[in-house]
Amino acid sequence: MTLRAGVHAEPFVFATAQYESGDWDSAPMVPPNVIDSIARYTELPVRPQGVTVPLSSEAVFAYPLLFLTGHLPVRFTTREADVLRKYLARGGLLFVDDHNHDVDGAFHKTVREEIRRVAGPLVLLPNTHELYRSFFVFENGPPTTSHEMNGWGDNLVHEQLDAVLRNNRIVVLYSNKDYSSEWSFHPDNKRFLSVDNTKFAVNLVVYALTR
Amino acid sequence: MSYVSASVSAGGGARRLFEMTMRSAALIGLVMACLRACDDASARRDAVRPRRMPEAAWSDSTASAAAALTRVLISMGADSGQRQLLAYAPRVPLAATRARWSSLIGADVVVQWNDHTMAAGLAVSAERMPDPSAAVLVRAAGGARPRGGATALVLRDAGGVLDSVPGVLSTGWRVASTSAPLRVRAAQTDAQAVIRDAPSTRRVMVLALPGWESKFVAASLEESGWMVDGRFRVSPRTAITVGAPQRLDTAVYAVVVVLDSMDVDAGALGRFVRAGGGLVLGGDALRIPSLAALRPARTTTSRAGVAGGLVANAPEQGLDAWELVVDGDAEVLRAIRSDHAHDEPVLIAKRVGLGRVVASGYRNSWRWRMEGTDDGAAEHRQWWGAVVAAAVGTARLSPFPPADALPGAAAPYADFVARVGAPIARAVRAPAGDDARSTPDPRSDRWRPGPALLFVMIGAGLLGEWTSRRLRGRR
Repeated sequence: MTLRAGVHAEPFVFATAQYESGDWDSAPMVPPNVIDSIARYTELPVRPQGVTVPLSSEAVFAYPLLFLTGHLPVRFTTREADVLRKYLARGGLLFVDDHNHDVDGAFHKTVREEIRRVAGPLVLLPNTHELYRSFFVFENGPPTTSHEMNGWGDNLVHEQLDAVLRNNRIVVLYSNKDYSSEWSFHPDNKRFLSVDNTKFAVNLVVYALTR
Repeated sequence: MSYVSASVSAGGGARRLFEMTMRSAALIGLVMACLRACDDASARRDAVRPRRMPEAAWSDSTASAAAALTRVLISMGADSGQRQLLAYAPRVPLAATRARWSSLIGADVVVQWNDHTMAAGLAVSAERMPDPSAAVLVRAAGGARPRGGATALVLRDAGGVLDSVPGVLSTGWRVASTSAPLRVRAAQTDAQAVIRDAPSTRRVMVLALPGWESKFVAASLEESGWMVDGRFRVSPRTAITVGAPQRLDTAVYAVVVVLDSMDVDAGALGRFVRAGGGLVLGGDALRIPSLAALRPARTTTSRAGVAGGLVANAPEQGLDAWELVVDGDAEVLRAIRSDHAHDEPVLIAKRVGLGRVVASGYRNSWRWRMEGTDDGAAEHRQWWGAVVAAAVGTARLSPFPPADALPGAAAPYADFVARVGAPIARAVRAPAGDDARSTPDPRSDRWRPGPALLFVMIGAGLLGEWTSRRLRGRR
């Protein structure tokens, strides 16, 4: 047992889930961009670098907020499903974003099936949910992304997100809005945006840390 | 001739012996009659003529008992020689009846009573658990029979028998729900428990920085049934509120939980605790300088959790924790065995004013829930439930006792003795019939001749001696 003095509060660590099927690393710039926004808008202690944790590893239990994205079909292994089931039962929150923004896409169809198998059915999250007021206020629900009607995917604006709720808490949040593309740019380029489109990520992190 | 003289002389000796015997018997009978007469006169002079209390006076019906006692009191009249009662108590009377018994004492009635109650000393307490379950914790002790040996302790409420534990001198129950009155019975002894209510509020205020520790502590408390309010500052101008935080007041909050080293209103927290509230200082909150006067322990160094400890038999050892130095007036509620083979306190409490302050040394207990075993979430929930329960004070004394709490209800036998006096004997058989006035010892009367026998003895003696003398000259 080691002794140390002057230990400070634990910083928040942004964790990306690595799964065996599909392309879990399709949005490598999302973590630094979200971390930048947390540091920019809040005084939450945050680790400058995110981590990638295998979904088959119990290491995911150390990160109660987990980000999962991809384009390709998702099939959790038995081990991944078991770990994810425990993770959600213990209080973890899984944020899944469809990088295709396509309701007919392979990722959308398969990952929803996997979520249903592991956590239960997804339901529409009302736009009045406290997620949309946990830090910034989004009166109309989830902010629209510039990628939703870019000619790719289903070319639809998805008005609501889906979620699995337990005890009035979100345990799985599912998005078709392609935040993986919207937030996947170098943080230095935020200065060229009139409105920072990563603010909703701050809401998500603050919600996960306080609810 | 000489033959005849010798014969007469022998017959006269026998006659004199017979007459002397008769006279002696008569004299002895006379002396015994005199002694008996003196004894009876003395007995009549000193006679206690207590009246026997009718059976109805011991009835569980207070109306019947009151009527019986009143009848006895009226029948005694004003003669002080009649105002004595001899009672054979088959059971300990109820509270209202005991009060009437003490009114007899107040009316200058001398009460002597034989104890047939087979009562055992029995102490009962009932306290509502200071957690949202609102269960009642009942403790009973002293189910010993007067002649030794334990009897069954039977718990019952208005709905009937709840449980029975045989052959123990003390036990406890955790009753999820009950309907008053709650009673414990040991043999013939029956004691009623007055349930002390826990504080009415079930709200907890969590003051912490936003983070996994505050999130999961609040979640565990909510899962345990507490209503959690919180305010978490996430930026210089933004604080996230959980629930509906209100001003710190013991009428609103039972406990305040502070989890991080942060700016707090130490004055308000101090007033809250001294007014009877509970305060939990967890992890880094023990290092808040402004709370130094309240904290039950001070921190020295941070101890890193044992690698792999969270999934071992003692998951607490897998958590980072502050090493604590206990204040002199604080008490260690829980300690764990360290790898240095000594006990390290992890939960400490002390009383401040009317409230309590509890220190928990763990800095990241959320890992117990997330990274522990499959039971980790339940254990984490139990841990925080215990921490908060330790901080919740007992109910403040109410100036008005509960409606069903009559004096002496907790110890009815002792109350009866206090009111009427100690029994003159335990378990003495009562004489048959209502007119029995005393309890003479039959063994002492066994060899005591009655008046008739004495009369016969005296008469026979005198008559025999007289007859012998009359027949002395006859051949």
